Amino acid sequence: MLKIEHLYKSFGDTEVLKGIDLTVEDGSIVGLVGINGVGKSTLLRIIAGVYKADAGSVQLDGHDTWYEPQIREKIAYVSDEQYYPVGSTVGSLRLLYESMYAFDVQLYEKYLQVFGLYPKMSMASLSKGMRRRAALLYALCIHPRLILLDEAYDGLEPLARLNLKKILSAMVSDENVSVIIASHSLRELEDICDSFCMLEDGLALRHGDLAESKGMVHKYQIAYREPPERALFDGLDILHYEQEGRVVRLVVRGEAEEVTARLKESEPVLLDVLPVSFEELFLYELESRGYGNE
Amino acid sequence: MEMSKPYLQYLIKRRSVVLVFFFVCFLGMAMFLSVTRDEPLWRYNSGAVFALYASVILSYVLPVIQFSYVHNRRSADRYFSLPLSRRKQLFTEILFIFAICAVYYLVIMCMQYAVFGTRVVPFARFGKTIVLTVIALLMLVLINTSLYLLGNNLVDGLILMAAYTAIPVLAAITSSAFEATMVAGGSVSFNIGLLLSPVGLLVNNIDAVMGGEAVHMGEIVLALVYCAIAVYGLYKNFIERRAERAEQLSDGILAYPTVITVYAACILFILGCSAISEKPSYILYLILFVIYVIAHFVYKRRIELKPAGILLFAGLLVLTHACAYIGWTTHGFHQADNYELFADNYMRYYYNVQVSDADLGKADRSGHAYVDLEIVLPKADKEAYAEVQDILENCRRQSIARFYERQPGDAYFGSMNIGDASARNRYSSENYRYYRIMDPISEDDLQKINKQFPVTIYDDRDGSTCALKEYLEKRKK
Repeated sequence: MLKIEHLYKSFGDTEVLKGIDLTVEDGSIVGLVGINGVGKSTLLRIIAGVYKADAGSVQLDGHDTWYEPQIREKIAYVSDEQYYPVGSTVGSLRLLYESMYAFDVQLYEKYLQVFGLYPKMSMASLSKGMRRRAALLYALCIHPRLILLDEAYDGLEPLARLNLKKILSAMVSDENVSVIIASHSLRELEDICDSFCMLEDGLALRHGDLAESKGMVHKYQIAYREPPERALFDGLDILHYEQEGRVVRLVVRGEAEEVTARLKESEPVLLDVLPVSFEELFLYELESRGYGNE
Repeated sequence: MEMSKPYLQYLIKRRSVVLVFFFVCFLGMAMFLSVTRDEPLWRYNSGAVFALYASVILSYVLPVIQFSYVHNRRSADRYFSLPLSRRKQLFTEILFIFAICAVYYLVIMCMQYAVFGTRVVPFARFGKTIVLTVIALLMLVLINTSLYLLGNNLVDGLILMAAYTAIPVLAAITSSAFEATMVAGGSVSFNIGLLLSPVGLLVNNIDAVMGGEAVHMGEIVLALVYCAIAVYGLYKNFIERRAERAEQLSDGILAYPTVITVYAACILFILGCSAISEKPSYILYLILFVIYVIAHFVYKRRIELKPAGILLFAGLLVLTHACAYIGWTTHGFHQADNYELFADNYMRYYYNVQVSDADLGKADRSGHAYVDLEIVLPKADKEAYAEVQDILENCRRQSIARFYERQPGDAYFGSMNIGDASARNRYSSENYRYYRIMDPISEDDLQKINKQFPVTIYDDRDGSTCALKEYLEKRKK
């Protein structure tokens, strides 16, 4: 289990993380989302032991990832931009992983085929997507307890994405691995993540079970005989409000039955309840926080 | 402090081909240099000196190669996320660098000794050289790594390493400029440069040991102090390094801010000394200011000099010139007037001045005669030569007075240098003073000196040299 408590990090005068608390259960795939510069990569780097937090702690299975660095042997971190030494090949990277991690040669051979890579491929000649495949290949071969993927799908074509999803799902179910994926590709995250963490202004604005959170937010499309007043919906936790004459579209947080009952009191001609996607949930949350209103 | 064996193995395996290649090159070079010499000692020495300098160069190059990952965000992600503590990572890297330098040196030296040295160099001296050099290499590795890590990117790391390495040279130049312009009798000395330079101290010592001399313990202690500072620097710049500073400006207090300030202060002081003792050269101030702006551009990667930067420059200008002024008014902080007579067993005076043919006590640029005298006075018998010493010391005092009263354009006609001499080394540079002469010793005084010491006159028309008496007789005719 990964436990993050009261995590603070500043870059000079800029406070990036302002007391993040987050728990990632074993066998969980967490989608880490937030607007650009909100601190997703910073959070992953602190978990991976690259950055030292100004305050707070990150513990994996009870071991602090900064003060007990040996636990990092169980963390596979794939950063948003990978580093490959000059002249390196797919195969030459193996030396580092063999030396420093519990490297599994059989897995390596297997994933080489899955990702369509060959040991003698020069890293310099590979495309961005192929380089990412190489990084993922090694991350998956060290029997990690926690996988950190920063912009995991960046550069990967659909088949490779599908393969990655399958592999991650298998690792989660077979080895109880936890995964944190920071990405802007929310549709991809929705397919694979069971939980999420939404960062905003240095804090974990919302986190928890994805399906449960999505179940708490619905779109309501309502038609009235006469154009209604906005005040009619006072008391609802509205994330999004849109009105075109007699038709109102609402995105409301709350139990669907309760909200529907409340809306029915206003005697609509028509009332449709629709589910929201993860992307919509994210967008409406941001909108309700004042982003993009300008 | 412990190392990470897997990480060390990784470092060795990763570089194994390059390491073997360079080792073969170095060994071949050392052997080539040796076999081209005839003398057995020179054969040994040339290979040994090559091994030393090659290892010293490696102690500069390897930290740059091994620690370049801290300066790149992507490589910092890779290497700082490894499952080992920063302390262990640092120790292992340092051990790796030191091992390469030391192994290269030791193997080449042992081969040199076995092939060329056994009959010409005592084993004890060889052993002492080896031990001293290996310790020196460890110090250099620590110091150079610490300096390189002051930067937040590769270019800055290199610049700061070079700048700090050159600070002893700058200090030596500044000190020499001060001695030459502000201290009457001041001799150009690079001692401060040597004392500030770890590599200078160590090469000096190794050179002494190879030559069969004793180790300069004071210098070794000083080098150890630098080493301790370097270890602290490594702690601050690696173990406590903020990985997020990779690829950022090198704005740490000991990075560009200190380097630019120290360089500006030293150069302004040199200009101040020159301006106060001679006359100011305003164009040099302008050039320095332009360089100061360029240095800030290199530092901040944009042309920007904030008022604070200009104020700092102005402040340094005032401070260094005030310092130079005080130096001038106090006769070089009293250095000119504080000299010791008979600090050793002998005092040596050497006097050479161009004079008038008609009057050897009168300076004359168009004269053809040069008064030349070299006197070594023994401390044990100094009363016997008191009169001669009075004349010479009077000449010294006159020279000091004229030094501080001189006007731009004043000419010098020769020089007198004074220093300690000992039975062992007649030309010892201890207490060495160099005076430029405007007022030569009078003919009467020369004759007094001539009673106890030979005074010779050189005539540049025919290149002849004769004794004072002979010259005077010839002139009378």
